Formats: sequence, structure tokens, C-alpha cells
Amino acid sequence: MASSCAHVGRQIHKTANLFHRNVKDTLQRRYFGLGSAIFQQPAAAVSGSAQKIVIPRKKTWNKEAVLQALASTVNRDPTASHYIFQDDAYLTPRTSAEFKLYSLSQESGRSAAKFFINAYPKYFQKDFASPHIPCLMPETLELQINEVSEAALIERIQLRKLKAAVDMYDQLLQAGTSVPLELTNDLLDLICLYGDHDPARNDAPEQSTDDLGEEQEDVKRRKGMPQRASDLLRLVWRENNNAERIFNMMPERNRRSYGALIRGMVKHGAYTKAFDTYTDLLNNRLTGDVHIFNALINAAPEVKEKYTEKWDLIVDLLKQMAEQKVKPDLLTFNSVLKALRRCGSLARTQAFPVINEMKALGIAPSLATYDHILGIFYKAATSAQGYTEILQEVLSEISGKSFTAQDPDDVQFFKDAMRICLATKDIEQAYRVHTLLGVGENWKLLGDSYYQSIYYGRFFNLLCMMEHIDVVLKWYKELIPSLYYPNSQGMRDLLQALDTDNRLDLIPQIWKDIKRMGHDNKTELVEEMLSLMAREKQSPEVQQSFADCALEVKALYMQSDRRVPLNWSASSLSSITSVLLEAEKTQQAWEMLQLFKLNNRVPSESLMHQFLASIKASNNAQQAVELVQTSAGFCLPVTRSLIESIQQDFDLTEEQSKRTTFRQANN
Amino acid sequence: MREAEKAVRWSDYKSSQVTSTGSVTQVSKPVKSSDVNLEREQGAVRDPKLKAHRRGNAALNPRYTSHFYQQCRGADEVKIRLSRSYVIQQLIMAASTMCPAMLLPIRRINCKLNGFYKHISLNKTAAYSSGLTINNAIERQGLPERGSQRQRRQRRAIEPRTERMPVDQDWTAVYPSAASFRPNAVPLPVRMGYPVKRGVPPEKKGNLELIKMGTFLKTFKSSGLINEDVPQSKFSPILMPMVLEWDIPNFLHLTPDAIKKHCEALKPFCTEWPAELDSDTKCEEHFPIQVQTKDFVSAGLSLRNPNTRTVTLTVKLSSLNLDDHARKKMIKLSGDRYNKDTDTLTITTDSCPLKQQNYDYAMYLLTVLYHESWKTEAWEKEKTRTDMEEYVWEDSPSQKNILETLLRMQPLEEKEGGVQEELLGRAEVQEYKDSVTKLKNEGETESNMQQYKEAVKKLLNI
Repeated sequence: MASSCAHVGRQIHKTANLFHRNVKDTLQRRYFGLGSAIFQQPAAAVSGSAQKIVIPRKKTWNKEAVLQALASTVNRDPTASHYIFQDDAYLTPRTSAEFKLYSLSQESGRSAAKFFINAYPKYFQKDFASPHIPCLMPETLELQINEVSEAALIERIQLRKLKAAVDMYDQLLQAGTSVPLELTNDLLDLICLYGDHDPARNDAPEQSTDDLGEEQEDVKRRKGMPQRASDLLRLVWRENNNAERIFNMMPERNRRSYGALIRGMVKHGAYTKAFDTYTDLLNNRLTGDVHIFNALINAAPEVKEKYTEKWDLIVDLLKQMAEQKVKPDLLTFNSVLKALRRCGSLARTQAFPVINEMKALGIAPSLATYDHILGIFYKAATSAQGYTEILQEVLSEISGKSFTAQDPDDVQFFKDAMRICLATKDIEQAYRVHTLLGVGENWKLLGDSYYQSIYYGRFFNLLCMMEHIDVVLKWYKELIPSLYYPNSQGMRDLLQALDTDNRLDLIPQIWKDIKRMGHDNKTELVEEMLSLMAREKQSPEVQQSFADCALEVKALYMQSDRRVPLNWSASSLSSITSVLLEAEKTQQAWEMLQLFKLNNRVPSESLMHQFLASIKASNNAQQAVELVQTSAGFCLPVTRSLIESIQQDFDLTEEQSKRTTFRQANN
Repeated sequence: MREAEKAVRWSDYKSSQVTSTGSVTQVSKPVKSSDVNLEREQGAVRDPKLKAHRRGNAALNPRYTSHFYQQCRGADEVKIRLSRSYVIQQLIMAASTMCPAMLLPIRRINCKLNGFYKHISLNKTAAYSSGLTINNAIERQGLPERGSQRQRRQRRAIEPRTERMPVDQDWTAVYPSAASFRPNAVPLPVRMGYPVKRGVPPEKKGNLELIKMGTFLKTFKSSGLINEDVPQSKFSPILMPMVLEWDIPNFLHLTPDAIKKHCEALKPFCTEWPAELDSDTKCEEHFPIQVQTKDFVSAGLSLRNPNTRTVTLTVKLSSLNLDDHARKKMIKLSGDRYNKDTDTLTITTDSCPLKQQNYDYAMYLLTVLYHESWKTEAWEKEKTRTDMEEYVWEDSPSQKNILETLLRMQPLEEKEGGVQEELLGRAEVQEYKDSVTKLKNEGETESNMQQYKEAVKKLLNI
């Protein structure tokens, strides 16, 4: 805590400078007026001596400047997890699921606290902080005014009590009072924003799940999860809902009333209705504003079928904008480009004129603009041949720039750019994208943890594919686990990269991470690792560490209290056995051989030969006979050749030879 | 340490006294019990849990702290920790001696102690779970499983991230700002605390002694004791300096590297030092008045620190334009604010609530002092020889005597006016004057006596 209360600066103001040299003569008088005027000018130059001393002016800066300067000295710690978590060996999240769980629990704890503070404000009146911090104090969320009045309506709108506000409005109308236009517009805005449903309070306690009321919906959307289809379905624009009803009852309407309605309709999916309302607006000799047009351009691709019709509608809207002298803004162009993405082949020809228009108007593009351009030229389905230089051009235009969030789609850029890099296997561009992420505040535009994992997943995948293993491992240490928890596919990519560059000796290290990240229950990953370990003979030390690994895997398989127990497959069994044999852990290898029988799996021929070789090395005739017996028990075709070689290489006792030949006869 | 123990006993005594008077019974009791229980627990505690609990509380207990003190004498932390326990005792003492009007702070202290206990018990469970981990490991090695009905698997600790840290890592990124000790992030084999059964002090993992320093103050501050409700006159002399000392949990964030980086980052905020002022003497010449203020930074509830209001103004008297009378009067007026050895006048003002007010007040004081010392009041004429600050030889009995003696030594015919001046102008007489003045003003030291002897010898031609 408590940072060094140590004083940051023991500021010695050597500014006092009261006594001018030339004043000294006059000081002979006893009652010299040592005026306060001299005190008040600490920054004045001192004259009188040979040189003139110029005291620099005091610098001023804004409140956060020092903190920002200090913060800029701090780099990211690649071994630490996200700062919201406890830095503790028990409490650090290890998998992405845990990351989600922990951050959500923290969030829910916080909102629980907030709920109690807001629900019982009388117990939280003491203001500890100095200076006062408003967000720590309870908010008033309860309605204070109960009688029917305009003030009550204003209060309900401010507290976003949608239903109560609508009721109040109706009561006001029934009582015969006329509600001012601006206040009605505020109410319309509120209704249209939330689609005629009460917004869920962030800190409200969760309802039971079977209570499928419409009260709690969009806010409950999980952080880090893509929007589910059901969320979208629930919020629809109903025929004759409160917004339309109030709108129709209004004695006079202005542009803002129409704007609220149109934007609400577009937001909640009533696209054709939005255009009808727009026609109404024109019929009433009103003009639209830029927000109305932005909403309509967004809605344009939904109301028309053909690509050309869509584009014609957009162009028509833009022309109307020009007629009505509405100046387009960044969001207008972003909406146009977004709509163009859904205009098929038309988009590629029309994208550049739009960009040129933007430049002509002097509107600086945001990341969303570039994202739409990339989206137009790199369709996921079509091959991106011939357009590879678009990404390069975009990157060379924006490299080194720091962006701020201006458009909701800004967060899509990084993950989409990385997708294109991955699709074109262009590691150079990937590095450029990643450098851009480090510039200024751009990291804020990477999106939530879900987008982040997508971005880093693609980046890591590309690295594993294209880069030398040393570079991959450098990035691995940099990204994992502080920024990114790879899935099992990511770990398999890493294993393949290890394989390509022949650095299989690093597998035990990776296995540790696999265990930590909870991927040790993914059969495919574990089997792949085992087969890589078993494939070649390594140096003795490496082989020893492989054997330790293999034994750990075996222990995992044997664990009975797992929720999803791992099933032995023939390949995993034989891989572990052969690793153990190579490491000369014969005892454990024999135990493995017993497991084959228990799990109804059949060992391969090569494994049997490996066994034979190890037995030959130790020259144990007894074991050789047992091997033959096991082999015969599995009815392996290799048994015959085994017997022959045993008879050649070992001095068998009579009984032993009898048993082997007995087997032979049986076969 | 002894002082602290004394304080405990005294406070016990005091609080029991208060109890007997009856008016504040229910308030003073918990304070007392929470303090004394610890001492009693030491006697016969069998339960290992309680023992651990006790160990955790070692810092509260003066006896344990003294053991600890012996263990690592000389370490800086010791001073901090000692002062902490001392402060608690002081607080309790102060609280128990206060009148009923001061009940609120006492209750607060009580809360604070409880809060501290809770903190310890929380950490205790963390320490225990490491024990369970071992059990789990044993189970996995094939020993018969005991708690099969257990629903959830015990969560295991992963290897501490210190294992993954490269040797050449950027330490300032690991500890960018002040934080309590995290065993997971500090790759040092630190040990601290009271060793069990003549062993070594406990290791860093789950070690409260290492974490505690900062957290204690947190509870302390959140109780609001420091900033409000406490009359400054009662508390500030004891509390404030101590708080400053153990406000620092550790210095892991203030490595030389970090400080260098911070300095680099803060440079743009500084103005350039005037090139003409290249030496201290020049600074003193042009800017004789120095004003010293302090700013404090702390991670607490409040940005305000009452100590920032203090303003200290220093000035050399020689740089002020004073004649002999004025100078003497100024010294007289300023009293012990004047340092004779360095010839500096120091004015410290802290009576106003704001720094600016105190600064203005200090400047006002200096102005008033200056003017006042130039004035000569009517009564100052009544100053006699005995009122003088220092011995003046002129017109003194010594001068009269020596003149008389010298005149007697002269031939008679030359006893005319003007001879006295001629006599006083002589080198021997001057020397004699100096030695007498020195003897009177500086006291009878050996060299002074020697000088006097020589002067007399020369004067009398012996």
C-alpha cells in the first residue's frame, strides 16, 4: 500500500530573492518600507549584479500528466497475469475458462456491493475520501417524486424508469396537462433506445432462470461471449408500441421526434418502417439530420434484395443528404462502407470512390473504415488473389498512428487484419499489425477478452506455422499465459513447430504448460505429444525426461475421479511403453504391457520387437519367455518370429523351451 | 522496546482505573481484553491452530517482537516494526487516558484491532491450504483415499511465477508501484518471523510478517483515525512521525533502476536551473531567503496530508541590512529561532491550515521582525552597561584603570590632554583591550589567559 509517504520533493524554493542590491543604499533610513510588493514577485529577474539572472517561468500541466509520465516508464510483465487478479499461486487463473469465471465473479461481487450500497443508502453516508469521490457514494435510484407532474416525468426519464415514465406521461395527458415538446422527445429517445423495454439495472440481483420475463435481457449478455441469436430475437420493434403510440399522439413533431423514432426502428430491426417514417418526415416538410441518415444507410442493405438496388438506395440517400445540406461525418462513411460489404462484387469498384470522397471532405478514417475496406477486399470465401497489396497499403498508411475509439466497429480491425495475415500466411504483415497494436493507446481497441483471444490465437498460429522455433518460443514466453490462453489446437500447433525444427527435447517443458492450462484431458493433444516422444530415440537425458512425462500421462489416465475419464487407446499405450523402454525403465514398461490386456488393446509388432531388443540387452531369458506368452495371448502374427529369435539368442532351460514351443505348437 | 512494554503495563493499569470509575466501562474493556488476551494465550496453548494464530500476531505482542529484535538486530525493518507496536501501545494508552468526550476514537481503535485480526485469520486459511495440497499429492501417489465423498477436488497451487522469470527481466515491470509483499512475484529466498523450535524463520510463502507491514496501516487509515476526529494537539506529536515511518510496506518498487526511470520521465516537468547560479555562494547572495515546504504522496483515502501546511523560512542575518543595534535587537526578539553558529534565523509556521497562509504568515513575521528591530524605543536609552549583550572595553573600569596606571608611568610634565588618546592608540593597549574583551566574552580558557598574560607583560614592560 501506501507508497512511501516519503515526500516526493522537498521543494526548496530558492525563489525568495527579496533584496535587491541597489535597494541597499536606501536602506540606511531606519523606516525603510520593505514593501510587500517585493515579496510578491518571486519570478522577477534579479538585477544589480554583473550578470542578469533569468528565472524560468513556472511550468503548468494538467492533473494526470505526472501520473501518465510515470506510468509510461512501466512495461508489461510477461510472467504476470492480468492485473485484476490476485497475484498468487493458488488464485491466478490458468485457463481461459478460469479467466472468464474469475473476472466475472469479481465483477458480480462488485455489482453486489453496489447493489447493497444503492439499496441501503442510509448506511453508507460517511464520506471517507478526501477529495470527495462521487462514484463511491450511493446513487439515488428510487423515485423521489410521487405526484403527477412534469418534474416527476423528468425524474423518471433521468433514472431510466421506462415503464414508469410512460405511465406518468399517460397520466399527465389524462389530467389534461400538455407536455412540452422537448420533454416528449426525451421520453421518445428513452423508449427508442431501449426498444420499449425497461433497461435492466446493472446491479440488480439476478432473477431465477425460469422467470423468463423480458425485464432482464440485453445487459445480461456475457462479457467475452458473442451475441447469441436469442438475445437478438427478443428485442424487436413491436407494432404500435409505446414509442409509436406517443409519437402519434403528439400534437406537433419536429426533426428530433422523427429522428428518435427512425433510429429506434433501425436499432430494433424495423427497417422498412424506418424508411416509411422517413417519407413521413419529408412529407411534413422537415429535413433529416446526420444521425437519421446514418441510421438509414445502415438499414439500406436490409430493405433491398439485389446488390445494385442496395447501392442505388445508398447513393440516393447520399444525394438527399447533399440536397438537404447535411454534412456527413465519419460514421456516415463507415455505414456506407459497411453496407458496401453486403453489396457483393459491386463493393470493390465503389470502395475507392467512397474513400476519396472522405479524403476530399477532410474526414480522418478510423480503424473501422480500414476494417470495412479489408472486409470488402478479403472475403472469407473467395480467394484473395490480386488484392494482397491492399493490406500492405492500409498498414503503411496507418503504421505509427494512435487511434481513439470513434466507431463501435473499431474493435474489429485487429482481429480481422490478423485473420487476413493468417489466410495469406504473411508473417511480415502480422508483425506490422502487432507493432501497430503497441503504438500509443491502440491496445484499447483490441476489444474484450474474447476478441483478444481470437487475435492472439491467430497470431500465435501464424507464428507456429511460419517462424523458426526459437522465435516462436520467444513469443510463447511473451504472450502465454499473461495475454493469451491457447486452446488445445494452439498447443498442437506448437508441438508441430517443435517437430519441424527438431527441438523435441523441449516437450517436457511444454507438457508442464499443457498441464497448467488444463489441456491434459484433451486426448488428441496428449496422444500427439506421446507419439512425438515415442517416434525417435533421443539422447539419454532427454529420454529420461520423456519417461517422466510419460509416467505423468499414465498417472493421468489412471486417475479415476475425473469427471471425463481418459480412455486408453492403442497408440497412447504403445507410445508410453516405447518411451519407457527407450529410457530403460523396463519394470514400468512391463506394467504397461499388462494394461494392454486390461483395456482390450493390442500392442503393435514394432513394440514387441522393441521389447525383445531391450530383453536381449539385459539378457533375461525368463522375461523373453513371458514376452512370447503375452504375444501369443494377443494372438499376434509376430509371435512366430519372436520365438525363433529367442531360441537363437537365449540359452533356454528345458522348461522354458518347452513353454515356448508349446506356444509355437498352439499357433 | 522496554518503553513499549512499560506503556502496555501502564495502559492496563490506566484502563482498569477507568473501568473502576465506571463511566466508560464498555468502551475501554474491549481495548484492554484484545490487548491482554494475547499475553495470556502464550501460557498454555495446545491447539496448533491457536498457535499459528498466535504466531501471526507476534508483532502485536511486545515479547515476541523483542525476540524478533534479537534475531535480526540491525535490520532496518526492525525499527519500523518496533515503532509500530510502540504506536499501538501509545494509542491505547492515549485512548484510555482520554476523557469521555473522546469515546469515538477509542471505539475506532477497537474496530481497527478487530479488523486486523480478521485479516490474519483470512491469511491463516491460505497458509493451511498448502498443507492440504500435500495430502492431495500423497493421494495421487496411490495411498488409500480417505475423503472419497468429497465433491470437489482440492485446487492445487501452480508453480510460483518466480520460476518462469528470466534472470535479466525488467524488475520495474514486476513491481511498478508500492504493493504489499507477494511471495509469488519476488524471486528472493526471504525469510522472516519468529522461528519455531529453534529453527530458521519461516519462508516467504504465506508469511504474514512480510505482508503485514503495509496492510496494518490500511486498516488503521480506513478507521479514519489519522485524518479526522482526532484533535491534532493530542495525537500529532506521537502519531504522525510514526505513521510516516511505517507507511512503507517495502521498497521493492523503488529500486535504483526505477528511480532512474522516474527521474527521466519527470524531467520534462522541471525548469532549467539558471546558468548564472552555479555555486551555493551565488545562490545565497542573490536569494538569501530559503523557504522549505513538503508535499506528500500516499495511497490512502485522502490526498491531504496535514504536514504539508508547515512552512520553514531560513535567512542569514548577515544578508539583511541591519546595523549593530538592529541586529542585536533582532537576535533578542527571535530568541531560539536564531542559530548563533550558522548566523541563520529560522521561522517555522504551522498555525494556519493552508500552506499559502503559513507562507504569508512567515513572510509577515520576517517583515515585522525587521522593522521592529530598526526601531529604537524610548526605554532602550535606559540600557546600562549591565544590560549589554557583550562586554565592551571602551569606558569600562578596566580601561580607566589601565589608563590610570599608564599615566602614572609617564613623566609628570606630559600629563596634558590628548595624551590619553595617544596612549589608547598604542599597539600594546590595543592588544590588552582585545585580550580583556576576549576573556570577558568567551570565558577563561587557557589560550585566552595566556594571551592576557602576554598583553599585560608587554604593557607593563616586564
